[in-house]
Amino acid sequence: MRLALLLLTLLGLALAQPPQTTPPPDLSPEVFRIAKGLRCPVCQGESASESNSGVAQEMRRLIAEQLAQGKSEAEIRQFFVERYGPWILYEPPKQGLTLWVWLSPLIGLALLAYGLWRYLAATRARAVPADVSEEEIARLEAELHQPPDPHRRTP
Amino acid sequence: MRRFWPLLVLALGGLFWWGLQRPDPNALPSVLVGKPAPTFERPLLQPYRAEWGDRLELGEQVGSRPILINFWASWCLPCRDEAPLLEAYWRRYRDRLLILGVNVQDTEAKALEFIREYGLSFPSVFDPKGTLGVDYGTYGVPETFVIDAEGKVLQRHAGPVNEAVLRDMLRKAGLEGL
Amino acid sequence: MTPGLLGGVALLATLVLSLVGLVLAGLSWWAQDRRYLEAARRVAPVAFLSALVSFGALEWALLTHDFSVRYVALHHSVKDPLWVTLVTPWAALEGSILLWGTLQAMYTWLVSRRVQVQGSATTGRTLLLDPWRAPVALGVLFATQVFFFAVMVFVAHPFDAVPNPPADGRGTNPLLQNHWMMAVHPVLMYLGFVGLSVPFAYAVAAMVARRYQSWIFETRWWTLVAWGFLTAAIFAGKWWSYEILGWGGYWAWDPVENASIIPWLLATAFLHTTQVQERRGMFKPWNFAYITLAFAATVFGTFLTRSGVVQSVHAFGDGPVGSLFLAFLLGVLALGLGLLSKVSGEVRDAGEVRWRTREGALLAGSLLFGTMAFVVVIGTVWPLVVEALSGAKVSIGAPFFNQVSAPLGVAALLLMGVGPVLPWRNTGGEIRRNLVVLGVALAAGTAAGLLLGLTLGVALAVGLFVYNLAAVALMVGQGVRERSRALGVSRGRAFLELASSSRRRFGSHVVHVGFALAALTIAFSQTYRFEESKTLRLGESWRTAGVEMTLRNVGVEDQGNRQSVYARVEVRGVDRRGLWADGTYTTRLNFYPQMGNQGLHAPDLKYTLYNDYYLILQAFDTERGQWATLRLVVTPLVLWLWVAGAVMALGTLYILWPSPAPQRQQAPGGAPA
Repeated sequence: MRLALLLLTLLGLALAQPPQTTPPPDLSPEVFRIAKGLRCPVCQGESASESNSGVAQEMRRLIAEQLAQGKSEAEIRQFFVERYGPWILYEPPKQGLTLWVWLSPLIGLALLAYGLWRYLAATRARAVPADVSEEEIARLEAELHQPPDPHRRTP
Repeated sequence: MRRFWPLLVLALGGLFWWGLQRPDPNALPSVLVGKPAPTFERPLLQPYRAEWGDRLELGEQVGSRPILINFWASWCLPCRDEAPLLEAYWRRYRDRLLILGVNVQDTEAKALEFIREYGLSFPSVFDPKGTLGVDYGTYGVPETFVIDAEGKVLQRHAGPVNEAVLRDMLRKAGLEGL
Repeated sequence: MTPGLLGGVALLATLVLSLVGLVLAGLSWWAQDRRYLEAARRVAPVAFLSALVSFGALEWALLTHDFSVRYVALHHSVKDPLWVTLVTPWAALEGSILLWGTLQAMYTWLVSRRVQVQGSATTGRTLLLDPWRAPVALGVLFATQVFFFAVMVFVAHPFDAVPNPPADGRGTNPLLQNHWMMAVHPVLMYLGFVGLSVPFAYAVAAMVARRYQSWIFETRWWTLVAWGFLTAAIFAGKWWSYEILGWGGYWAWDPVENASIIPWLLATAFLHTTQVQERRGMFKPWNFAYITLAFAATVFGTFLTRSGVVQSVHAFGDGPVGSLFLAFLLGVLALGLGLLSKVSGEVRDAGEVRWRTREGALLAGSLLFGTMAFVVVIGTVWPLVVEALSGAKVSIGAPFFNQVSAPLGVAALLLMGVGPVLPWRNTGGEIRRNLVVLGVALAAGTAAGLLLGLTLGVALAVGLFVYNLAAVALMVGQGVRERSRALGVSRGRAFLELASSSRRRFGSHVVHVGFALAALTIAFSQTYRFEESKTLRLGESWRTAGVEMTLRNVGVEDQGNRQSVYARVEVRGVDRRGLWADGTYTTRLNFYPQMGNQGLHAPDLKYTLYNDYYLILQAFDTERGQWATLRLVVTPLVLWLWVAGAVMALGTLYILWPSPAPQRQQAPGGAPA
């Protein structure tokens, strides 16, 4: 058929991807959901759900196969972690060094809030002299110079 | 912050500078190193059936000598660079080590053509779906694993091997003076 | 004269002119001599012109297929369509830096027009840059320009020659050719990035000249322009990613995407805290810090993209350019933070901030955006930290960012609604009624969402959307009522007058509504996305997610620069989920010679008011064209995400739109924004 001929001439030897010989298996939404949490090993920046590289397709096929065998999501993840290490998980484990990432919103908020609190405390302290009411100044002055200097009172 | 910011900037700079110095930022250490190699049984490609039988089981080969497992495919360009080297090593040292090819994500016809083209005489098993690649945690082709006489994975090399890499891998497997 | 020669000469000339500008600015600052300043001011337009010539030379080389220029040989082909050729300058590293440098030269020139050299009398134009700060501001901009052009001249030269020019080049990156949005997205991004250099330069000048207050007014326009471009660029990137990357998503939290959102988050924080400084003279050191970090973040993004230091789909790894950008990043941080630490003891802001006030809400909001920026930075660089400390490789991706950004987003939306309702300085009892209305709107929206069977998170998003709409309606309604009563005009007229007289306020309402809409669509599309794949033989039907798909045809078309394999699928809606899905979809895999047999997806999608139907050709029968594997993605409300982006951009434009002078005075009912 024309299609095959065209592709053969087009692709020639400069192949970078495996050829498709048999149709890939049908994949349920569940497969894509699980694959989304797994990193595609070849592409490095995409999940196994998004990528169309050979490995990602095989990973989706393995997920579908294992789901059909009744394995749980955790077991499937574990299957890939055993082979690729925790690197394959897009969600970093909440322990060890990556625990800090999970705490980063709290740390960031706490640091910024602390900075803001210190800043506002300082500005409030500086604002105090100006905020002392005139009545108070008058009373203090009255205590200092009894009797108060009449010239100071002129408007 | 007023006193510590230079430290923060320096730490950030140091981190990135270190990051830039890594020879290969994308290199992934294999989790298999130091662990028993995942065993498998796969059909051999046709040219090797006469000598090795219809199927090859890894477990049966472990014991007498180190094994070099090489993942390859006909569509992979770097595989073409390393194929002659692997073949040369196999011809020279086949009594002291086993080179085992794993053809992944390929069609049988294309694989056979590749074998003919480079005259590969070391055995290769056929794994069209690439399940073995996932079992070994490969992130591309070619990749090469060294397995010692006890069946433990000693090292993984991602990408094509050159002579220096190959010698180094085999030295780790106890094959001196190659 | 060849394009390569002209470009090379113009490039060198721009570098020299920028250096001259930098030296003159420096001299005028050291010697306090305004003649040098005048000279520096005059260099800026010449440098811009020269940069423009080198950019034009690159276009010339591309249009005339001059393959003796390496850039053209590597990134262009005679088969490229005209529009692709025109946008090829920003398809790869060298050209991108040239575009960036040229835009920087343009902004430097625009700033130089504001420089006031003679005398100290301000002539009614309040935005003039006085001679005390102008040398520093111009110096910073010229220095940035020197950096970009030096990188080009010494490391990434766009006009490098090829010894033996090929007959045809390799062609533009197919990912760029696949969608016209890619022609727009980088330009918008660079306009935003470069735009932030102006407030940064003003901030440095403010710290050096110890005039801490006025730069905020003067750069308001610049910051908004930069923010508007960044916003538009991010939405354009999402759009491109959705329609092209072939997985039916718009945001993957990839390091390079993160790098584009960090400056946006920091600029957003900055935009809000500047209002506190404008209004109350407070928060000066924080604004210096925010703008320094925001500008540094734009460099950080380029560093990440170009150095390959983190793993990313977009990382290119272009050799020494990465280290240069790292050095520039550290230089920017050292300059901004160093000056800040010197002057922060001197900036003695005074005043009390109560939390239940406008400024309280603005500060809290900036805290949230700052935190989010912090989280994204940490999440992006942490794999590197872990590797440095333990040697282990980890991944931090979408599941993490989605989880941590949700609560921060909810908090930001809450503040966004209530903040503008609160008065400045002190909140009395008079707004209690408004707060009750807002609380009721939030509760009613959430309850309605729950009753409709939405998940709690999405119901909350609905509630927050209604709440934000209510807040805007309250504020606008109040202003209109007061004005119509005070002036005795009709409500409609009062509304129009208010909308045209307090542009900043109305524009910000529009932007806020856009943001709330974006949050709503993100909640829906992230939660209710459906995706399934199946192989169909010709004539076979597949029923799922409310639609029935029938594969009609699989074929291939020769389109000149690519081979396009297509599958024609007839889609019919069978129940409510498939409403409006009907149509014939042609989903494609395009094969470009430079990419071997790795096809690029050109999915076919149909936007509707609720669900999008997105059909991807995953695989096909290469031998006889008898089957095709299709992936169906159904995502709600993505159309509205683009609407939200447009609303935010238009709101920004509305604020920026020049208006006649007298409307600066406050009209009754139009409380200052």
